[in-house]
Order: sequence, then structure tokens, then C-alpha cells
Amino acid sequence: MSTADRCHTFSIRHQSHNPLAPRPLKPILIISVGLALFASMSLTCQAGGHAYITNQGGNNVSVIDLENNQVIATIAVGKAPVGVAVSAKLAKVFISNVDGQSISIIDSNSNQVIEELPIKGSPVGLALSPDSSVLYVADWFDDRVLAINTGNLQQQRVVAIGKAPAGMVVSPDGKRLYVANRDSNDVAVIDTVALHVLSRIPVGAHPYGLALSPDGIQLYAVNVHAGTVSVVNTSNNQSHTVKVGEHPYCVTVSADGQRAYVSNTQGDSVSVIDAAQKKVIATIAVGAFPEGISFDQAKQRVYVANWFDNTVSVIDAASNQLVASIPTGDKSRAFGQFIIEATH
Amino acid sequence: MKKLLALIAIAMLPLTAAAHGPSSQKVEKSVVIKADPAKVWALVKDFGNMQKWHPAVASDKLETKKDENGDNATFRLLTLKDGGTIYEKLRNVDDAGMQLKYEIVEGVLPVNDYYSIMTVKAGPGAGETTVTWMGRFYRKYMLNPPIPPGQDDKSAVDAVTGVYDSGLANLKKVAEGQ
Repeated sequence: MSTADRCHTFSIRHQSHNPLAPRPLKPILIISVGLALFASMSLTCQAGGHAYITNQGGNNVSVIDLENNQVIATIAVGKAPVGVAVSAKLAKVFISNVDGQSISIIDSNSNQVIEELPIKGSPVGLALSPDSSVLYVADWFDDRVLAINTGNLQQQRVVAIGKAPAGMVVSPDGKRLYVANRDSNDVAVIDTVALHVLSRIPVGAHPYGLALSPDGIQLYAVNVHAGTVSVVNTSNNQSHTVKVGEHPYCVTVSADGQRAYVSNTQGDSVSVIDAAQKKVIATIAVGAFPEGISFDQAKQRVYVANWFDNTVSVIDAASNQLVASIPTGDKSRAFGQFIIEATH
Repeated sequence: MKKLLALIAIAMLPLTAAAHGPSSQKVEKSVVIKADPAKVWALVKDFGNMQKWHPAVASDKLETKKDENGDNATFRLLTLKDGGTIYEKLRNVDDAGMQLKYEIVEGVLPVNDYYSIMTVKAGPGAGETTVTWMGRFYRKYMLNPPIPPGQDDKSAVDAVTGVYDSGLANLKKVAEGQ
């Protein structure tokens, strides 16, 4: 659903639930109430979303308002936060604390931690099912993935996986979970209902970050040691290899699926891949050691967290130009899709 | 007892290969030198002559060979004054940006996956140059606790901090000297 769609849905729902608008109402009042609601809805929707940046060295999360690219809150979480997953539906943000061995759950309305869930093992990668009902947690040390019911955190299932599971992504229909097994050089395809491994797709050396096109057809796996991205067609597991920058780490896909953006940690740059041509069409200099990367649909911008610089670089997707650099916290990583779109 | 320990060590080897370091560590140090940036950069970029400015380095042997991807790459073997060695790979030299990037392949520092950037910039004052040395690495011991003494995060950070502090202090001396 696009931001515009969501705003529209919300304005209709708010009108129909509005206690100030009983049925036998004068037309002029209906129009004025409707206009006022429309104005307020469109204003808040235009206010844009927020980015949640994990600062591994600061043991906290910087919240960036995407409207003005300012940090509006800094939230203390567990020790060495790395992974992030956001849910507009639940108004929650999930943070994996690798050294703290826990998941911090943030209320995205109040920007307060509302729960800290202990995890046995070392949680790194996080991903949510499209309906936000299941949180997947990659346990780096114990080579397994946990599937946690977000409505009842004690309901957890486990699937054993390849070595050092890192990045994860769920198909748009929620039926498949893809896991990059960094030390097995493959991507596991997991049936999310039975929670078992269906297949393992060989990719390049040390796959880390993963992303899917919005239609779920193109899977991007970043091969850290190979300096490449594997572009896998999920319908037939055929793959292409695209050379990117040095020591690439994470990837995100534009809302229209036409571009993929890859952070090159030792190139201090972002490679822009054209999905149709399957080649790099631009390389943009960003801060030092860029890691986590996400696409903001509302403003068509790319946000990337720079671990060395303690900043977030902002790229305009239309021009492929760097438009802002935002100071965040110590060792910004933001591993996962970290942008939450505005919902109200 | 020794046999038992050896067996345990062998049993743990595959785990070492599989597991990743817990959390990446960072050290960032800088120094202001009263010298021309070009002069300082000439010292920093000279990958095969680190002994000219780092007080812990006795000799530096440059080597060019194919890396794991089959590309030509530059390596150096640093022999330290205490006898230890560090083998490093040059990642990039950017003359325009006065920036050097390298990594440790293997060596005596208690670190894993060490990657570093040295940057030379003019300023802050006229006739001054700022050198920044940044490192990213994991501790030596890549598994979950208990961590053997000397292989923890602090040991790794302390070792790298020592290398940077002593190196930058002496780089300043050498660059400011006639």
C-alpha cells in the first residue's frame, strides 16, 4: 500500500467513526468537518515517517524525523544494538541487542521502550512478516532462526539453519522467509507455515544483507567477500551476479522495484543497481563504513548508516545526489529495514 | 590433562570457523602536525616504509601478488621491534583525498577482521595538518563467553589504541623534524 493510499483509507475511516458527525447533519457542517479532517490528515501524512538507527557503541537508537532530517529522540536500549525491524501496523520497532542477548521493543508513538525480551543466543538480523504477526530473529551463534508471535512473545518456534544466519526478508505474501547464511555462502528458503527449509540457493562469498523487490520476484543478496550482489529470480532460482563496491554489506530496493541500493563499507559509497539492466548505474560517495540502508517511499530518498562516522547519509533517489548528513550516535549500524512510514 | 585440553581445542575449531565476532570495535585517533599536508601524506601513503615513522616497526617488506579474487594486490610484512610480525593488505590509496585504506591479513595483534583508514587533511590552523587513524575490528576470540584472557574486546581495543597513539606521536615528530 502506498502512503497516499494509506492516508486516504485513514481519512475515510476517521470520518465514518467521527462522533461529531451523526447522520442527520446539515450539509455545510459535513463539508466543513470533512475538509478539516482532510486537511489534518494530509498534513500529518505529509509529515513523513521516521528512521530508527541502532548505535552499536552507544547502546541506543536515534530516531530521525524524515520530514526535516533531524534526530528527534535518542532511546536507550540493550547492549550493542544492531538489527532493526519496524511495524507501522503495530506502531512498534524491534531492536536486536547482540551483546545484551535481547530484543528491545519500542512504541513508535511514544518512542519509549515498552518491553525487553531475553533471547538465548546472539540475535542479529530481524524481519517481520508482512502482517506483522511474526518476528523472525536470526541467532548468529547458534545457527538458527526464531519465529516469535508478536501478539504473544512467549510463543516461539525455531528452525535450524546454515552457518551464521545474517540478513532476512519475508516474501510479500508471507509464505517464504529468506535467510542469508553468511558462512555457508547460500540463502535458505524457508516455508513459514511448516517452518522448515525448502531449499538453499548458492550465492557468492559471505552473503550478509538481503532485500526483495516489492513483487517478491527479485531477491538481492550482498556477497561481502566477493564484492558482488546476487540477483536471484525467486520463481526459478536463476541468478545473476552484479559487481559492486568494496566489502558491500546491505541492500534496499526502491518502492517501484526499479532500483537496488547497496552500501559498500570499504568503498564509503552506495552502488545504485538498475533492476532491469542488472548493472550498477551510479556510485554515490557517502560517509565512512556505510552499513544499514533503507528506502523512504514518501520522499524517494535513501538513508544509510555510517558506522565509522556516526552519521546517516541521505541520498535523493531521483538525482542520486547526497542531500544531507545527519549526526546520530556511536557506531551507527541500522541492520534491517529501519524506516517506518507515517500512519496517522 | 593436556591431551584433554587439546581435544577440547580441536573440538572447538569448527565453531571458530563458523562463528562471527560478537561486536565490531572501533578506535579513532588523530594528531595535529605542524607540517605541510603533502609532506605528511608522503609519509603516510608510503606503504612499504612504515618503519620511517612508526616506532614499533623494525622493518617493512613490500610484496605484490594475486589476492583471493585473482586481482593484483599490494601487501606488506611488518616486523616489529619485539620480533612479532603483521601481514597487511593495501586496499586503496587515494591521492586526491589523501586517504589510505588497508587491512590485516594476519599478525600478532589480538584482533580479527581488522580494517583501517588513515586520512590526512590540511588544518585546523595555517601550516598545520591533521592525521586521523581509524580502525574497525573484532576481538581475537570469536565465540561466546567465557573469553580467554587477552582475547576480549578490551584487549583488542587497548592493543590498537597503543599502536595508533605511539604511531601518531612519532609521525608528528618525524614530519615536524627537518
